[in-house]
This record gives sequence, structure tokens and C-alpha cells, in this order.
Amino acid sequence: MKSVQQKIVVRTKSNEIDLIAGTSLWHDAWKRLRKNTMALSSGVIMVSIGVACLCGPAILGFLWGYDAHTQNLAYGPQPPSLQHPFGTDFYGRDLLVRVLTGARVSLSVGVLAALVAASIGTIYGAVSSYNGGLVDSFMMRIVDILYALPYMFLVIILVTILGKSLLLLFLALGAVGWLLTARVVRGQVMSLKEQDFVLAARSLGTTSRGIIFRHLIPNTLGPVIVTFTLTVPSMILQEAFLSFLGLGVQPPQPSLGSLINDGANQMLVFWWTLVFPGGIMALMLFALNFLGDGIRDALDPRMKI
Amino acid sequence: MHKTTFQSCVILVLIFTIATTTGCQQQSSPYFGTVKPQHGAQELWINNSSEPEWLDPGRCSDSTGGEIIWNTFEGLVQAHPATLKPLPAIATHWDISDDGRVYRFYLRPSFWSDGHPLTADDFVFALQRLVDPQTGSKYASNGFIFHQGLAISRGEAAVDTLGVRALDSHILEIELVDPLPYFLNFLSFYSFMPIPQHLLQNLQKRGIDQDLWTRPEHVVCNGAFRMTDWQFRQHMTFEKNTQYWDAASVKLNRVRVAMVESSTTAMNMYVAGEFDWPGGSTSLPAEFMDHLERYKDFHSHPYLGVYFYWINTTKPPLDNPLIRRALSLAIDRDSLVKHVTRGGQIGSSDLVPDGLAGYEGLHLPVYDPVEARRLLAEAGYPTGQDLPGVTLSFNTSEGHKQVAEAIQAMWQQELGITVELENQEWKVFLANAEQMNFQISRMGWIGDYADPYTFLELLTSDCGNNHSNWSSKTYDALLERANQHNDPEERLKILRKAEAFALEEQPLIPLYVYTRTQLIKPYVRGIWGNHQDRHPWKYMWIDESFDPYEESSDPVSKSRKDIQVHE
Amino acid sequence: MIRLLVRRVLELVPTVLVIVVASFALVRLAPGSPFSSEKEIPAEIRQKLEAKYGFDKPLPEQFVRYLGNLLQGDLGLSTKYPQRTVNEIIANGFPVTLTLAAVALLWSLFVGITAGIIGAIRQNTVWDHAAMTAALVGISVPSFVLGPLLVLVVSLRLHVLPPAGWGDWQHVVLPGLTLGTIYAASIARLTRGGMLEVIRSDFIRTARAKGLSEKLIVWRHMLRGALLPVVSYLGPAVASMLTGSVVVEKIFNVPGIGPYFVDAAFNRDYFLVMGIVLLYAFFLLFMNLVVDILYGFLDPRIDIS
Repeated sequence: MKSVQQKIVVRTKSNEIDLIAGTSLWHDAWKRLRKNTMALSSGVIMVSIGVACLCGPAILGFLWGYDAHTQNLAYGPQPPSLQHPFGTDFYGRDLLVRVLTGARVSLSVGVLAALVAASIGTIYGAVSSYNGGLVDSFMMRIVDILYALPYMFLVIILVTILGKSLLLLFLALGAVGWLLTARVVRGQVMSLKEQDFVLAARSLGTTSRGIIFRHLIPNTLGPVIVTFTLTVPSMILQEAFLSFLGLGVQPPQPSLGSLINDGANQMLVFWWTLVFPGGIMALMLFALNFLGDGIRDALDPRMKI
Repeated sequence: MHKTTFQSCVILVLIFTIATTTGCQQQSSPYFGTVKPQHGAQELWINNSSEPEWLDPGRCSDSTGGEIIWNTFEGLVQAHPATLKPLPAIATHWDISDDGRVYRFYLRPSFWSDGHPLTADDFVFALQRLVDPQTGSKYASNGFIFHQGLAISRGEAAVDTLGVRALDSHILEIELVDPLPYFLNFLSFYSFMPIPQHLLQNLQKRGIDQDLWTRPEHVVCNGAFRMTDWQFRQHMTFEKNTQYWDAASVKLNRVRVAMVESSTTAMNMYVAGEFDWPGGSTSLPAEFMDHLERYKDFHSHPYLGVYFYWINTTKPPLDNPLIRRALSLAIDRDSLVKHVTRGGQIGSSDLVPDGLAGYEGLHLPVYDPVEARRLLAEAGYPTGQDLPGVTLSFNTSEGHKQVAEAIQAMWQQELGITVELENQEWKVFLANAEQMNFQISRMGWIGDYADPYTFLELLTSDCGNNHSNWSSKTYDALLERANQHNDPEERLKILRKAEAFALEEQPLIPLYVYTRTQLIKPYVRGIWGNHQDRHPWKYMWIDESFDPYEESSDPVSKSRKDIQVHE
Repeated sequence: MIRLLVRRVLELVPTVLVIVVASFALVRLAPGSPFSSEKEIPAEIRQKLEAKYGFDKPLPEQFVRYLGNLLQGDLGLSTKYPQRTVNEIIANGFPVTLTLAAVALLWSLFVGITAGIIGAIRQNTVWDHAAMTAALVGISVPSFVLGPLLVLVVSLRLHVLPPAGWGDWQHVVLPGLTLGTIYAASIARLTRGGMLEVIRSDFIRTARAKGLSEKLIVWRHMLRGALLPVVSYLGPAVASMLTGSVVVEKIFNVPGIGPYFVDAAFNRDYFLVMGIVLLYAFFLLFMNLVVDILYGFLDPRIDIS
């Protein structure tokens, strides 16, 4: 731990000099990340999935005239072919268009909601743990209560009162998403806050705010990134569950979660309806995960450049 | 490094592909799954889809409970297992008064499973209890056909004024409100079974909650089987009731009934041989139909149920009957049943299934997009574009979603109307239907008895199940007149007129007539397909001599020869 | 330690009270009634049914009565299973769910921690990538896909284990593996992440310098520090394992209490929902207390009181 403490202490002392010299933590991190081919290629995959989702449906529509909604019941579910690389679904719709359209919704909903959840959870957990004592008890009991409430009823009532909207969808997804992160971060900070570098920072007069944001949170990034990658798929699947309650994306509009759900029902007969949406989600998770690992490693000053 | 990610994805996809494709192919057997009985001698293992709410005939209101009651209790009459014609059961014969309102039943001497003699009083007790508001039976309305039934359930008349009387210990007289031609058919329904009054009194004496009388440690019954074990949400075991009046013709020794809710799980258990018959109420998933149809142990038969969409006829723009009719005609029902529901359902625009109890269906056109567009133009929306928003709500279920999604596309493609779909959780859906808080709402209606009235009643003004806000004095008067009519032929004609009158206004859009698809192991005999999905275990048996390699005929038709029905 | 326990038990009272009040309100304010059905029930009969359960009284009065019964350990009557009390239903299903949870927990800990250790000590090697790929597959394959696939291969093709049901040990294997695998994947990711945080710290270097065997270092020193995020995750995870899984119990027709979370809510079986929520809340609060105590054992620097 010694080297870390020194580094951070030095950095805190000579913050302005660092900025002038341009060798900040983030600069170092970027240098390290650039050398991590795994993380970089994951980034490239993420960007390509994003671009494919944004432009793919339009291009496919322009070239072949496919869209996500026009049905051809008589054509029905067909296995992958040159015309339909992902095959067609129960209603004869091109699955590639639907997967891309669905992934667009799910990616933005899932990743955004998970990002928001991770941020709230991290700050909440760190603040709770750093303050300790009664504050910690109070804040953690709130987490427990939110964990225990009957989630389905919460959603049903929210939908009844507020009507369905995208904002409510985020709210419903975020309401539970941040709880795990908060608990994990709290556990980490409990250990970190007793370490010498925090003591040092405090004795140098750094504010609580500064300690939490500059010293504690950066050191919890490893587990935070992991919980983030765990949250994304659960958000995507959760969206499908919420759409059953009338919230979320309603048919015939596809979402990755609902495509996977439908595919799972049909997988023993029409395997492609599960394999392609599921494959895209798995690919996305792989990329997110290795990118996350890369970022974590890059932010770890102990890793060699 | 990039390679590793890529490779693992490929492997993932491969695992899926191999595992799933092997699931469907390499099937050379003409049967789906095992073909040898795996349980004890004359022991049948079946599924009954979920834990029943009540096994008490007076309180039961769901088909899972009904399935058990039908096999453990016996009423005055029983339904023929193939044709559903009323056959003598506890009553050996009966007289009907000239006005068709009073029935006199002559009971055979018979016993409860504890040896206690069964008398006409047990029926009087059971039917009074059914309508008694103290019982709180969800199916009390079945007793409204009896004289004073409705008044008693409202607390306006004493329970003993009910039109069901014991003339002596073995003669029962039943007085009806209307001369119902379907009464004898309806009388085999589970609500009308006798109840062992002596057992309930005994429990009360011993200070035991009377509601628990159907538990295996207490239960006394008079049907072909009696319950010996009940593992909550797992399975029930039934053994042949030796006190049953027709015990000689019961072939099975034991029936084990599991409660498996997932139809896919039930199907898997059938393939593995754990179930000999996944039960009458377990439906098969639509996706599997094309695959299953190839097998000899797959069966399908029409079923007395109609799937339709209610229209709230007071909410614009659907307050205009022209638009309602346009919506109905734009639906390609044949394509819907062939490609979406896939279970051999019959696409129909009629509310009453064709051929029901001698009723000649209306045979309204099932698909006419040209006429649909003309009607829409007449209503003032030639392109459909500027029609105000319409929402179609359905309760969460794979099947309902599939139908709604297909119909939404048909309306879009044929009429240019964009209808929004809305998934609703079941109780929210019901609450919205009750409060008329919807525009189009899906519904299925299963007939309780074989008569058009069970469907036509839905559209009467004072029917609590009418969710269209449509009401017509003419229609009500026609149905009332039909019910008073003692001539069955004439009555059906009036009912037909009423149906045509109502559908001209299209307060609902009928889509198709149900079918029941099921898997039955080839060695199980004595199961008939009938339109009320009644399958008495009494006639079932296991054919130990069945040889799957021998070219055998269809087990359903083969079993028909074995029937021994006492007429 | 004793102080901590006393404080936490005292905290329990207001927490549980808030959970009971909030859940009761949520459950009762949701639209729909336990007695609504497709076929209309005559109004008089419905009143009788409501009176039987006391639903005809004003809500505050009902709540007071419920609380009174609760203090005597009476969870009320079920509306869906009218012949059974909620106590009876939970007593019936809980041992089943407990058995399943035990198998799933053991499996997930064994597989998850092993894979996590391999991933961390062989960071960025083929071993690491294989372990993490397996973990990612585990995370991205939801139980409603894994379960049916296991049934297809193990039961219907290889005929090794029964496809569903409950009774003897053979029935526990497949649902246990399905349930455990989802958690195992998350545990593997968290273990690896946690170990990477400590693997380069001074005390590990010191331990190596002292000449301790690598085995001892990994098990005694690294794992202890690394398990913090895993333990934080396990708190809520064990609580939800103990209250069963809706999906897994349905696929394998396990008569546990998992399905009630969704079914009882769908049926508006008010008292059953409340009973299940309280059971879950109890395990959650209990597990989180255990987790907080474990923090102290895993990292002596943490002052748990």
C-alpha cells in the first residue's frame, strides 16, 4: 500500500503542478488503456454495436425494404438465410431488423439506467460508510427497506397513478438497481477509510467531500465496475418484465429483453429466435466487461504502464 | 485477445445450436416420448395444472377444482363421455311436467364412501347451500335457474323456499324459473353434486372447521374415486371408491394428479413418461404445434369456448358501429388460426359456435377487407389515418400477446389504422374491464352448458359480464321470449335472430372457436374428445398389451369400442 | 460485538415497522381485488367473501388488526387457497426452498470463488479469460434459458435425472444447478475484482517476503481481503435464495415459496403477499447483520461497532 499512499499524498499536495505538467491520474489512465488491446477492441465492439443499432434498421430498410413491424404470417418463422441473416420471427418479420431496433432501446435503457444506478449507489454507499455510526445505520436501513418492499406492487401503483412514460421506466429500473452497488461500495469504504492514506489526507485538511470523491470512490472502482456489468443485463431483462406490467416497451415495438423472452419460449422449436438476440446481448456484455476491466486496470496506479 | 472474446461467442452460439436442434430432430418414433406404462398396475398419472381453490362442489368455480369434483362426486345425471348427452347416474329416471318447469327425479339406492346411505336430502342440502349467501359461493349464480334461487342469494327469501324439494328419501323434485331445454345437460355440472350433510354436521360437533371437509382426512364422497392423499401444490392421490354405485365398471385402481403449472414442464414430464396424460386443462404451447402434429399421440378436438374482443361502444371513435364492423371484417381469421394460434382453432365471426345443440350458426363472413375499407370510408375515414387513437388491452400472456400483435398488424395493413397495444397485469385488466376503462379488451368465454344461451346471455343489458356498454331492449326481449318458449326448434330460431341482430351492431368482435390440443399416451384408453372437455377417469384404463411397433389404429377411435355406458 | 448486536436488534423494530406499513399500503392501494374474476360474482356474495377476510372494514382498522395478529404470529388467511392459512402455506413451502437454496449456495460459492481466484492470480492469461468467459456466459444466460436447456440435455436426451418434480435428491440437482449458476457467475466476477484490489498490496508482498507458501498467501491473506465485495453481494443474494426463485421453481415445478412472489401478487392474495414480503425482509435484515459482522472478521481494520 505504501506506494499508493505516497502517490496520492504527493498528488494532493501538488495538485496544480500536476495539472500544469499534464500527468494527471486520468492522463496516466488513458495511456494505460490505450495499451490494453482487449479493452480497446471491446470498445470498438461497443461502438460498432451502437452504430449498427443506430443506422442498421434504416440501412436494411433502404436496401431490402425490411422493417420491424410489417408481418407476413404465411411466411412465418424461417431459419437464417442469405435474405434474412438472423432468420424471421413468428410473424415473418426480419429478425435482424428487430434485434437491432430492440438493442437500440435496450442498450440505451439498460446502460443508462445501470450508469445512473451505479453513480447513485456509489455515492450513497461511500457517504454512508464514511460517516459511519448513526448516519450509516439510518442510510443502510433505508436501503434494506427499499430492498424488501414488494416491487411489483410499487410498479403497478406507479403505472396507475402516473401513467406509463419513459421517465417512469427509468425510475422503476433505477429504484432497485442502485441498492446492490450501495452495499458493495459501503463494504469497501469501511475497509478503505481506516487506511493510512485517508488519515493522511484528513490530517492535511482535506474536506470530507474531497476524501470521499478523490480518495475513497476511485479506490472502489474495481467492484463498482463489476457490479455495473452485473446490473446491465438484469436491467435489460427487467425491462421485459416491466413491459408485462404495462410499463416499458409495448409490442409490436421490440426490445432486447422481450426478444430474448419470446425466444426462450420458442427456443426448442425456432432456435434462432433466441440465439441471435441472446448472442447480441452476450457480445455486448463481453465487450462491456472487458472494457470495464480495462478501465479498472488503467485507473489502478499500481499497474505497470 | 480479441480472438478469445470472439471464440467464446462462437462457442456459446454453437452450444445453443447443438442443444436446441437436437431437441427437434432425430425423432423417428411415431410417438412423442416413452410408450410403456411406468407406474403401477392400472395406475394413471395425470396433470391438473394448478392447485384448486375449492374441492367443495358448492364453492368451486375453477376448472381445476371441477376436474376433481367430477371424478369424486356423482350427480343426478352424468354426461356421456363422448356425446355429452345426459345419462342416468344417481337418478335412474325422471319425469318432466308439461310446461317443462318441474322435474321429478327417482334416485337409486346408493351410498357415500363411508357407507352412509345417500338420500334426496343430500341434494336439497347441497343446492340450498349453493345459493345461500352465507356460503359465499362464486358460482351461486348457477343456482339462479331454480325457483327462488336469485331471491335467496340476495337475502330476500328464506333458504328453504328454494325450488328443490325431497318428496321422499329417494324422490327429488326440482322447480325451474324457465323451461330450460338444456337443463339436464347443465345438471351434470359440478355445482349440482350432492354434499354429505352428515359429515358436515359431524365435523361441527367435533369442533372442526367445516370448510375443511374436502381434506383427505375427512372427505366423504359418492363418485368413482376418493382422495387418499393431498400434498399441497404437488400432487393428489385417488383410489377407486368401492362404495360407488357403478364401481364394477371402474377399471383404474389409482390416479395420481400432479399440479404442474408450466405447460412446457408438463410436456417434458409427458415425454419422460412421468405423465400418462398431461390432463385436459393443460394447453400445449402454440410454437410446438407444427412439431407435435406429426405424432400419433397428439389429439385435437373443438371446445365450447369463443375467443373475442370486447368493444367499449361508448368511447369514440368506436361508438360508431360502422367502424366496429370495419375492424371485424379486416381481420383475416383463417390466417390467424393457421399461423398464430396454430392449434386447429376455427376462425369465426359468430358468437355462438356452429352446430351447438342443434343451433345453426350465422356463418358471418370471416374476412372481407374490401367491405371493411368501404365501411370505414362510409364512417368518414377513407384512409384510416386520421382516426383518433385506439388502444387494445390484453392481460399478460404469451398467447394473448401473439393474437393481439397479429391483429394490430392486420388493422394497420388493411385499414391503415394504428392501434396501440397494452399489456396489463391480470387484476388490473379485470379492474379496467369492470370500470369500462378500455376501448378494446380481449376475452375468452367458455360455455358452462351446451346451449347458445350461455354465449348470447353475455350481451343482455343486466348481465354483469357484458363489458361492451351495449344494450338493446329488442335483444333482451328476444332472449326473454326464447326462454319462455317450450318448443326447442322455435326457441333456437328466436335465439338465432337475436344473435344476428346483435352482431349487426358489433359490440364485440368474435375471433375463433377454441380447440383443445392434448397428448395422450397410446396405452391409455377411454378418453374421448368432447366440446366441454369432460374426461371422466371412470372410463379410462391402461392397455398393458399395447405394442408400439404394431401398426395400431388411432387410440382415441379404438377406445370408442370399449365403452360401457349404462343407459 | 455485543453492542453492535443490541443496536442492530433495536434498529430492527422501526425498520420492520416501516416495511410493514409501506408494504401494506402498497399492496392494498394497487387496483384490483382478490375476488375479481372473468365471470362476475353477484354483489351480495362478494360482500360476504370480503366480510370473511375483514376487507369490508376501513383500511386503518384492517391494518391495526393485521398488526395485532402479526404480533401473535398469525399471518392471516389466504384468499387464493381459502382452506389454508398463510402460516401453513409458508411452513409447507419453506423447507423445500431452503433445500434448494442450500444446494444453490454451495454450488455457487464453490464454482464462483474457484473461478474468481483462478482469474485473479492468473490475470490476463488464457486461464483468466476462460474463467471469466465462463462467468460471463453464466451471467448472460438467464435461468429461463439455462433451466430448459439442462432439462433437454440431462433429462430428455441422457435420461439421467427427472425433468421436474419434488421428492428425492434427484429432483434437487437440476434446479439447484440452474439457480446456483447465476449466482456463481456474479461471485466469480466479484471475487476476481476483489482479489485484484489486494493482490499487489504491501501485506501480500510482505507475506511473500516472509517466505509463506503461495497456497497460504492466496487462502489466508488474499482471499480474506478479496471477499469484502462478495460478502456484500451475498447478503441480499442469500436472502433472495432463501425465499426462492420464481423462474426456477416454475420450470422444475418445485413446490417452494418462490412463485408466490409473483403469483400471490397477481392474485391480490393480500395476506400471502404480506407474509412473503415479511419473510424476505426478515432474511434480508438478518443476512445484512451477518454481513456486517463478517466485515470485521475479513478485515480487522474495520471497526464494526
